[in-house]
Amino acid sequence: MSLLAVRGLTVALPTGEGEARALDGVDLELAAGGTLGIVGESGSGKSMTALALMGLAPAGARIAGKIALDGEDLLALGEREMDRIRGARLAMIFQEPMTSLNPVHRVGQQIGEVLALHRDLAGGAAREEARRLLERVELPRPARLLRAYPHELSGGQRQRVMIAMALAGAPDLLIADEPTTALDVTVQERILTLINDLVDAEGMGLIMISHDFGVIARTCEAVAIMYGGRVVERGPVADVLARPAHPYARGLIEAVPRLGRGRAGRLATIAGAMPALGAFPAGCPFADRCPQAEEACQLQVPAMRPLGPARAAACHLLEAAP
Amino acid sequence: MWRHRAFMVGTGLSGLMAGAALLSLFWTPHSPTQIVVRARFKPPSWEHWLGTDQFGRDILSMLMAGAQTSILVGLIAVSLGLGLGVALGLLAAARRGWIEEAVMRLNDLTFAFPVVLLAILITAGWGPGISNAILALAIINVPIFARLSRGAALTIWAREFVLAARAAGKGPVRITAEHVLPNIANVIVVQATISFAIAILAEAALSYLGVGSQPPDPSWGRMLAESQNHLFRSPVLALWPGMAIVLSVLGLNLMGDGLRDLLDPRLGRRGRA
Amino acid sequence: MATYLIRRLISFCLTLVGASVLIFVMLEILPGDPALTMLGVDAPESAVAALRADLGLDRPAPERYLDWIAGLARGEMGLSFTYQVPVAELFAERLELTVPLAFAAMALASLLAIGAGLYAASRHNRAGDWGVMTASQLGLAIPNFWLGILLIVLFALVLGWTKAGGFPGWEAGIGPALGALVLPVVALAITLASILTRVVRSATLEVLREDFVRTARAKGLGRGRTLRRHVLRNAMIPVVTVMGLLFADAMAGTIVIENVFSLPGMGKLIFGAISNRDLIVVKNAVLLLAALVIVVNFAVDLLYALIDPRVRIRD
Repeated sequence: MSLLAVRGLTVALPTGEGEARALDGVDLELAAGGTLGIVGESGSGKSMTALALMGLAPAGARIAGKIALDGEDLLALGEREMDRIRGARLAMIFQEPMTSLNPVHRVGQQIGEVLALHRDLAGGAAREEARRLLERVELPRPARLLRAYPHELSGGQRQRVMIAMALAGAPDLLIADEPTTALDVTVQERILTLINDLVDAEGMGLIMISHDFGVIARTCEAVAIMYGGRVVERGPVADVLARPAHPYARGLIEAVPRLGRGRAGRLATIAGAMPALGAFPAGCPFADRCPQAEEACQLQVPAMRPLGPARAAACHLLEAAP
Repeated sequence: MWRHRAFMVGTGLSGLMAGAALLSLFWTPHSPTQIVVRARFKPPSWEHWLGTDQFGRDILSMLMAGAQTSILVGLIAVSLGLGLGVALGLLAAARRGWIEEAVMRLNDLTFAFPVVLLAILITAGWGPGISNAILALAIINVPIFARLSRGAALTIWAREFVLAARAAGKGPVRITAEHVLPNIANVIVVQATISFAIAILAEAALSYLGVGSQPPDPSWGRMLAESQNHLFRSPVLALWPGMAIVLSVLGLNLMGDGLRDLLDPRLGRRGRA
Repeated sequence: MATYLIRRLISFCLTLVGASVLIFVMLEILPGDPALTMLGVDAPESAVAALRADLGLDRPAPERYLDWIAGLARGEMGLSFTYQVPVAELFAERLELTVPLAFAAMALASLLAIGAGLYAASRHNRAGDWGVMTASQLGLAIPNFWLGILLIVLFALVLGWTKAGGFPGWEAGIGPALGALVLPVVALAITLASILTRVVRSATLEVLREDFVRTARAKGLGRGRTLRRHVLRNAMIPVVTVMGLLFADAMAGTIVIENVFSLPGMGKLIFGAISNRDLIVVKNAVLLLAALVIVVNFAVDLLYALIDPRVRIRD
């Protein structure tokens, strides 16, 4: 059985005029210890996917579909039961390490909270475990750091503390939402290496969310490409990189200088901008920006078509694999 | 949506108070000051809609004339405080330096002197009276408007169109008059409404304490003070002036909140559409 | 941290000096002759001259001001003109009532405001929020002295549960003394709570939007625990500042409410002194009350550094 199986996940947000679907029929699959990247521009629904998985979608959102963690449907759980899963079996780290830690609590307290909540550790035992966790994320002088306030740390150090907090509950699945976007390039590299090492060592699953295909390629085996609240292509990272099927995937990959094939040094970008929530075309969400769009694309939403083992894409212009 | 409705209610209540005060300049059902011994403590009737007090004066007439006092005090005190305060604030924003420092220090000092304490000082020096109450209220309002207009003006001074005007060689006086003042008028209007409400509350409190308006001038605060001597005989006497205060203050506060929403350039689409 | 403290301390001292200068100018310089003010314009010239000599009014104003401050530093405030007893003694008795009254009102108001403000914020844009905001709007419009009168009508006249006012003194025992203060404290607290509730609500709403609140939920903390452990303390940072500023209102309100309930505190003393033209009592009483407000605000500045670790470094 897979660690995580998401089926038809749909999140509808209330807007001025009725509802808009931030997510529309998202399917995801992750084996135990597997790593999955979700890539897309801002507004593609990748962060909403993460929040929905954590059960932290905005108040007022209407959620449908199924999120099975080890076969247990999270959407069927109550608030309290979900509290027991968050931080213990599912952990998450965020984009902004500067603001994601509580400014008035010491680092030790903030890690200790998870230990008390999910592992019944308190006092000296909790302190010792928190110190071990800080060591685990390769922070120097961990005993001293426990007594520091977040504002005394650098951005990279704070993100390491966030990771230590996520590890504190010994989760089965770690969700990292753009964990390096706010950091310096050199720090980014080290944080990604750390996440890779930890995922391997702890045997936990990873969902890495990024707008940057390069980050996904560094950390994940499989990738799901999202656009307009839908998954438009999925498959093993190497395959998708080598032969992107969906026009949007091609555009994204060409936008990455290091990984884009051909025309080195020239950065191809996708024309236009992602429409606002609720303003997508009636047919394929990408139709307005797609260089190859035909009339059918405007009218009908393309279904996911299998393109071989573990690969699929949603585009009218594709021939289904034999 | 409910904000809009609140604004309408506020404007209605404020209008009611202003209307009563205006009307009382020409006409009240009875004299608000004439003592009629035969008519003491009359319950409400066709003759006296809200009854009469311990001197046989008509309550409704007193309330209407009391609105006059409240509005007069509020208007003068807020105008004085606003005029001087905004001038200081604009000056501080335009000149910076020691003027700004002095204005801000003055502001630090006045937080320790609520209006009641200041009125006590003035009354002890010059004796009780409505003009001293107005003076105390005006003084309290100066730093409020100074701080507000300085802060608002500073953000305008940093905007591109002011830089452009300076580059065009316009002096600080012209820039203040042409660019700064029109752009901070909305926050000042909102604060004036709120300050007006606070002035009405303070005037009532000072008159209640005997350091505000003096007999025989009608005043809601003094009506309450007098009613307290007759609580056993006629507790309703304490009801009407209090209601008048609450409705006026509520009206002005709601109107101020509504104006804030309507005039705020960032939220203002709703208001202008 | 040290620079923050030093800067606060300097500003504290400056404010105290400013307050005393303001009082001195308002009472002894601007109105003209204090001796004339105290005795009235009809007083015989000889009596005015005698008092003038007695108060040392023939000396220049700066010298008189310094004398006053030097006396205060020694704990001497002079003799009350009306009672002919040391002003300090008069105050000691009255403060026993006024200070507990003001602090109790602040405490009750804070309790009400934190409860109601948190509740409103957690029900943002729903019926509960609307109800709290409407109640606070109404509370803002009700003068505390009128609320006091209404409480007297209800609890003393209609229900007969308490007396209409007065204070038996602390020597009558803690029960009766506190009983006499319940209605005044409530009347004072409602207005203060109405202002503070709005501050608590908007501060809480602001903190609820912070990223670290989402982190707390992601750690598995429930709504209630997140609110208590992560939101409350951060929201308290602006709230505490407003509480300090509101203390001036609490002090002023106490002076008014003492007159409503005939409580023998500083308020009663000051208004008696005004009608007796006892400038010496008024001068020192106003300074004392202003100083109390300034001290409380200084304490708030210190508290601020305790709540927000960033302050210790930032300033």
